[in-house]
Amino acid sequence: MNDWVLIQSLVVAVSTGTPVVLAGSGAILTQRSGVLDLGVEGTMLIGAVSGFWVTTSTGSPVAGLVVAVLAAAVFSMIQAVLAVSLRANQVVVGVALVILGSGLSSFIGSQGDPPVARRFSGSIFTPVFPESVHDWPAVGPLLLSHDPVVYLSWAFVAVVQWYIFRTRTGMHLRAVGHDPASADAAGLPVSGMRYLHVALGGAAAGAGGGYLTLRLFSDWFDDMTAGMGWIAVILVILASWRSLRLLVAAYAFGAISSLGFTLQLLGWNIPTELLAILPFLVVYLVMVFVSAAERRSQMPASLAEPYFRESR
Amino acid sequence: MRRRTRTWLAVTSTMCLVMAACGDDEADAPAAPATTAAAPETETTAAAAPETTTTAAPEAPAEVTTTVPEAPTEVTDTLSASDGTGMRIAVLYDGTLDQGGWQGSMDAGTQLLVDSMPGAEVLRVEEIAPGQTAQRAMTDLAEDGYHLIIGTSTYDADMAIVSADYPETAFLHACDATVTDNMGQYCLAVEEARYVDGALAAALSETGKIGYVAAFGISFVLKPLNLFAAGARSVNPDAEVHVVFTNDWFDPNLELQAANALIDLGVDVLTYDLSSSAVPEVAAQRGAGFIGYGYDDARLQAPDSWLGGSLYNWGAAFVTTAQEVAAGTWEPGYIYGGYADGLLGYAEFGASVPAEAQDLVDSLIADIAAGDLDVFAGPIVDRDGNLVVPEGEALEFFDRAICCEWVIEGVQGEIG
Repeated sequence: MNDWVLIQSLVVAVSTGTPVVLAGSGAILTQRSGVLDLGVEGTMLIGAVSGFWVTTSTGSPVAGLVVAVLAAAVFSMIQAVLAVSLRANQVVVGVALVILGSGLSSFIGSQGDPPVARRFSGSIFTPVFPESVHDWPAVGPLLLSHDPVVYLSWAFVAVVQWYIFRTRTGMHLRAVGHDPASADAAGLPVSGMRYLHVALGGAAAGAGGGYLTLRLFSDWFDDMTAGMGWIAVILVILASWRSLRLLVAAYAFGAISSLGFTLQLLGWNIPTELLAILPFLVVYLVMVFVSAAERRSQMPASLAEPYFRESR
Repeated sequence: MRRRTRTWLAVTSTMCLVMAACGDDEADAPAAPATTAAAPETETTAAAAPETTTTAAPEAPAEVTTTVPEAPTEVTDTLSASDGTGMRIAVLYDGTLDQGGWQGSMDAGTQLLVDSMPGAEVLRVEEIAPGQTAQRAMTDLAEDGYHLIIGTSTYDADMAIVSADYPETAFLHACDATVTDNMGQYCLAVEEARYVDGALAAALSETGKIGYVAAFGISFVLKPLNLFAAGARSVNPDAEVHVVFTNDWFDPNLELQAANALIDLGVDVLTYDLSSSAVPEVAAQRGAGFIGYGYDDARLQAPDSWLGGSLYNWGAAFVTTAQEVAAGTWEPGYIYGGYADGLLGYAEFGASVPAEAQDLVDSLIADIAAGDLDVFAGPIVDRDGNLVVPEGEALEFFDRAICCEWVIEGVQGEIG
């Protein structure tokens, strides 16, 4: 093991962690408004298939990403209508959306001529900076070797953090998620805020899904998220609904998981099953200690609770 | 009024959810059995499917076509026997057929059946999960008068139950244990496939380090791994096969990390025992070579990295069985064969593969098909130094089928 292996693990963690960072930061926006969107996995799948369809048809990964974002935002409106307007149980709706997203994306994938599933993408996102700077010590691979979506995800994380804690609308958002009755009394549009942030969360999950097909795998296949959406939801909670922490957690998760494979290869006699659960163990433990050190819970107090104005 | 609107909305949107979620099951709709394709002539193994055919590489067309075994097989013997008129055959799949991989290779087999028995009604049934769904589907098909039911996934227990109730129907299952009076098994000698793949990998690797991404360290994953390493070391005695396990049959994100870890270690040729696009994509993005296994989807996905790879030809087993069932001579057993029986083929080589390496693959396949080369012949030494197959001996059929609990020398990395 040497520095280079460590750096490479981090580089791989950045690219494989980007879908989780995007979807997770979006989920933070949604959950901060008091809506628990468990359907992230399904929304990502919708983004993945629609983005791939458009990119393989038009040859433009940017167009694909835009459509992935829009399609996922529209898809997440199911959550908004059911959970906000009709006040359905958000856990049930979220889980149903995962199944729906999986089935619907698989159906969409079988459509088109040729079917999306049989297409291969020649045009994907490529690194922003020229090859020559990728080899600069440490900063080259870590900071300068990425594609535009990775930089976009960093900007998004920063904007989400700033928006939630440093803007007036962000404060309103936290109020709606914390105590919708008071927010309503103060004249804030509770349902409107919730609709908007469900859509934003869906859009971000769509970008995460789009990244899978437009860069990471440059291909689409059934259920390709394979649990990434769920990991995003878990990391949102472990990161106390803060996007910067989520970014660190997602990268740490990916780096440890990636290092596990290096350890397998070095043959240190550590069972591979143990290495497979290592990222969960480490991230859990760290986050548990971090949250324990906080004085009060960061969870939006009304998370997953429908708001009835009449019961105020 | 308002409340009623809400309720109505809730009901309709739930209905929409449910219908959309179930929507994709409609893919079960019977595939038209009709096919006008003429029955292929004797050299049909090459007609498995247009995409996966053993087609000629641009440089050396003549040699590559010879990768189809010349030895007479049951397939060619029986092809002309019946065009299948009046015969009804159903093939069950666990997933959908739009994706390549395992399902795609099986469907190429079904297509060979359709092409070689144009009179037969061949029904493809998709999205049949093992368990109750599979039992219901097989019961329906048997009740409906299908003569031969072929399962392409892990339906062994279900098929054993249903076949016992329909002794007049023939059942054929992939790579498992149950053989009864009306249920047989078919499987491929993957050891032959992987031996040739390993030899090609070693011939093309400059570092002598080859990366292998697999799911679990269990016997039927270790068998192809071992023989891949044996093939590699037959070409380069110092070749190292570095293996990583993702501990998941399908986790593309982990496969990405595993493949990247291999390349960071200095591996310059990658292969896998999985079917997602992750490993070939890493090979493409990081400039490594890639060797396929069983199907050549990656040839289109990562054309610059693609080197070559063995192909599954399930169709040979399907056609043989269907012909025997039609003739009334079928005796359920365990179909287990490789290059000699036409059950394996070889994919088109990548553009970067030199002629010598292509010739090496062709001669290995010819030797295996002719019986001159037994990939399981001793001496085989495991990586702890134990002699598992002594010199002058070879593994018996049963031991081949259930192999391997050991790991051959030359394999590096944690197992299990």
